[in-house]
Amino acid sequence: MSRALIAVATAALFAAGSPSATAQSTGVDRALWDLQASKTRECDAAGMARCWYLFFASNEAPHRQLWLADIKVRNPEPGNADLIEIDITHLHEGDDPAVKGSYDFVLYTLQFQCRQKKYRVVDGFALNLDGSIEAYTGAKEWHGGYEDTWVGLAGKIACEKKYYLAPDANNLRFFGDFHRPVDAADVIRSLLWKPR
Amino acid sequence: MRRLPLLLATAAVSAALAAPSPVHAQSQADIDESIAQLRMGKHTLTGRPGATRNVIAEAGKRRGLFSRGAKTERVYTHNQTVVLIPYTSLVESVVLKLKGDPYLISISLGNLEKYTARALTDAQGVFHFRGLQPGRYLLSIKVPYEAAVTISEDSGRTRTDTTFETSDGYNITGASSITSKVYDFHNTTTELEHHVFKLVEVKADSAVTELGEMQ
Repeated sequence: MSRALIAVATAALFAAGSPSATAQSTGVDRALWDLQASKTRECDAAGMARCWYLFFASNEAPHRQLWLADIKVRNPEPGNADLIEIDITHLHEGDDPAVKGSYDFVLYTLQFQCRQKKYRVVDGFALNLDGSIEAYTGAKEWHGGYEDTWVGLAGKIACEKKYYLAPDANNLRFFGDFHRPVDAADVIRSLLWKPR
Repeated sequence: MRRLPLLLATAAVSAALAAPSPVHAQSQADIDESIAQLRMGKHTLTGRPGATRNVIAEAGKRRGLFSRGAKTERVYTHNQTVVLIPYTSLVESVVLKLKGDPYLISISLGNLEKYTARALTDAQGVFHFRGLQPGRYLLSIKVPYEAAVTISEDSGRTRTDTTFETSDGYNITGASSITSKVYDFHNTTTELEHHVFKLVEVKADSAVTELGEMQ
């Protein structure tokens, strides 16, 4: 299991807060959200493979980190509208392999039980600084109490209507529809961060 | 549930089912083929696409004229998007059918651009695609550049040329005239675009595939 993925699980274990239901959606609601969203946001769910939004950042140069969420969320179990799956790309600016947690980027596939406020990592990989790829092979157990971490915001994006319909009004910034997370990472490096 | 939302949802599903298919609609199998080829891999593809244009000679610049010499120069582009389309069976059939015409292929494959790799050119005009799977791709990039051109403009004036006919070189026996428009010529620059459109292969036995200068 990669260090970054362990860090997510650890953050969830230590974060304070109790689960409470904030997301109330059904399959029909989601269909309606898509209809409304086509008029209110830059992401066109039908025409784009992905809709990446910048939603979280930390640290300062040259060790900045950015998180992107693909708001084209999925419903992995059609009979269970409360279960939502979302892809998150976590980018690291630093290029020193000696610094703990220094990855090029990590792609997480997270699942949220919106009403129960629980999440788990179901898939993902990390691109290490030496170019090797580390696939997620960790456990897929559910965690709670993550509200005060970036996972909490990812959960809101996955579950809550206001984030889905009006991401820009909720401090998310559209970054593009790159199918490959590595392309989004490289564009961030060339436009926002100093190229390596 | 209220009736209105249910009606709207039903309408949305019906509209989606009734939507006309594009000419080259991707089947699920072709989408899967594209997605499989775009999975994170270990290969890198680089290249430097550019356009060639005539240069303006220094002497010509001083006289306000452009050189008619054969000297050319390469121009590159910065922060321009390079697109890699997986060369799936569908893409191959479209390319063969349209005989490689970049313009027609671009239109036909418009809906396939959801599933592509994309990169930006750097300050030297070089692109780097990381994390590719080996295989064939269609590479597409437009290189905008300024070119020197000469524009002819109708001046509104006319010119008449008369030819006299003589029988012995001295006595005029007839005449014929031709009147034509007079054109003014202006040297200027114009914005053009060179479309680099190539079938490229990312080799399995090499970590980096370098395409070098691309025309």
